[in-house]
Amino acid sequence: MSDLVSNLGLGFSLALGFQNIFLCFIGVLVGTLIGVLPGVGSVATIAMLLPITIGLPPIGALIMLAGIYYGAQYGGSTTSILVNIPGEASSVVTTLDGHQMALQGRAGPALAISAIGSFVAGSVATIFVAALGVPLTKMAMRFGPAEYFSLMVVGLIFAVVLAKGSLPKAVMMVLFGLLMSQVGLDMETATARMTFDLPELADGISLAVVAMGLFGFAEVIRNLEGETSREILKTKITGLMPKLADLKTASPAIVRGTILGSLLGVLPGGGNIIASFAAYGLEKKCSSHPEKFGTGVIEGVAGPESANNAAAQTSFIPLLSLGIPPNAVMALMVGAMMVQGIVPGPQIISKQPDLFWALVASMWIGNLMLVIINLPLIGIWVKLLSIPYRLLYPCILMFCCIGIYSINNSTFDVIMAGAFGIVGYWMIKYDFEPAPLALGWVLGPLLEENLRRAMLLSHGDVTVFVTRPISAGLLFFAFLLVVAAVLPSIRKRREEVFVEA
Amino acid sequence: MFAVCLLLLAGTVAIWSVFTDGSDPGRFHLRGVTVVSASVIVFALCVEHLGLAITTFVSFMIAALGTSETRWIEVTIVAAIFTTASILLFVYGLSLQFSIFPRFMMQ
Repeated sequence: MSDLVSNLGLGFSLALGFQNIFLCFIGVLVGTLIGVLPGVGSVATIAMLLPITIGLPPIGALIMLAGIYYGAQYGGSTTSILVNIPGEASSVVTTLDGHQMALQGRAGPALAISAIGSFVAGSVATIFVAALGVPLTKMAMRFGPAEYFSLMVVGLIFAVVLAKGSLPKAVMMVLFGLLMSQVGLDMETATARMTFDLPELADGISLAVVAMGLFGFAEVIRNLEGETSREILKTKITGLMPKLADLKTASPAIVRGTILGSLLGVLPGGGNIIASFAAYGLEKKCSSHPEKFGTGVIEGVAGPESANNAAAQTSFIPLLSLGIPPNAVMALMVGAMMVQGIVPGPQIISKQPDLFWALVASMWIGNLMLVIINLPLIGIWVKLLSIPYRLLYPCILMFCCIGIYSINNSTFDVIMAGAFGIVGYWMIKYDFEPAPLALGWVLGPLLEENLRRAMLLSHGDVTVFVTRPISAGLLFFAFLLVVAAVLPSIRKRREEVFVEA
Repeated sequence: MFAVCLLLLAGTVAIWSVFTDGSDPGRFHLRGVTVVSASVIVFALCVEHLGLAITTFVSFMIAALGTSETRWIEVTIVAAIFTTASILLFVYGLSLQFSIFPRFMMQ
């Protein structure tokens, strides 16, 4: 316990340094700014802003990216409440009651309760991350390549099971991601694989390119379909602070949402989406007036918003302790860490404790800033919402182009991203989820490396994966997950969770 | 080897899912696809030769063709502001090595 306190002390002393607190502030501000823009989710926001952080020192860059992430998430909730357009999947449920509240002239309390709920959830989740980080890392230190391989298999299967939409399509996306991650030079023999003799492909395809194509360009193309003008809330936002009665009804929802979100966030494959949907369902079940949900009840905003933010924080746990990104956002964080020369994994916490603890401390500071920045600035966000999309999308497009070009000064990358944009649009059209693809993409090289190491260590004996107890346990768990996902009864429930909420 | 397995698997799943559920994806919006690709390709081809300023402006205007709601005067102004802002951010703010103007004008 005293260790935890002294470690957190170290973290806070670093995170409160002038430069880091400034970067955190800028991150949260810019993240919210871009997250508020309709049709730009948190993955696209981070992908767009990734090039800007490359020149920063590692700790600062990660703190800023984390800030961007919370900011973008909060920005997504703001658009859900005010314009009924969820910035991303995890704030879909917020539209149900949040927008109803806004229509009744209670947009202020809805936004405020979402900020307060997020702050409470963020604070609790930060402690959760700090407390779990060390023991998990100790466990991870005992992992050999075989265990890592099995763990990643579990992760990928989770990503498939938890993805929404059809199972075969999700499987396909993961496989496609794995396949594309193999492009480039083989890491041990340096043989070129799938490069089609293009020197530009020798380094593989960078995640920033894929992310901007799939999550940035593709969204723009999709938004260009049909009418782009949209209904904006005309009523003026008055009375920002929620009434005492609101706080009273909302606080149990915040607590429940926080607990649920913290637990679900650790799961690989879109934990925060599941968390917000599950929290809404839970609130409905706990409520004494479930029939009123959907007409603007404050618990319907507080629960999912807290859950979604708690999950966003705890999804850092697998990344920081095991080096395995549980979702597309964390996958981009891995990309950012790699650029900075940091290899994510259990060694971070022992070799670079300053980095780990500063990041944890900055999570809490970032959440505090969200509240401080956003409550007074809501007026500005509302104004931003009234920028017509016809002016916005060329900006988004050009910003992505310049951003990609700036990473490697490579025009080839820009064209690749454009190509992924078209592929991504096709995928949206046919209901393929891009998130499992991104996850497969990032885990691909790690999976291959550990598979090969395990094979080398065992002299090519495949049974190593089932004879080592931890690895066997993980694989058995993966097998159970597959069985569970295929069983008809559970499959039906899985669909219900997404449809109902 | 690993890659070939993946390709085969992905292919099988692809064919299977095409046959199992034929939900209607709705019409493809060709205008968006064409305009976005055109704008991206123009950017990629020109940025090294013409520099950031002209390229960004031109690509911006091409991108604006994507919807019939575009008002040209408005877009021109926004494009000019955006170009200036992005030069300030990327070239001066982040001090990246970009050429701002065409090569022949720099000499």
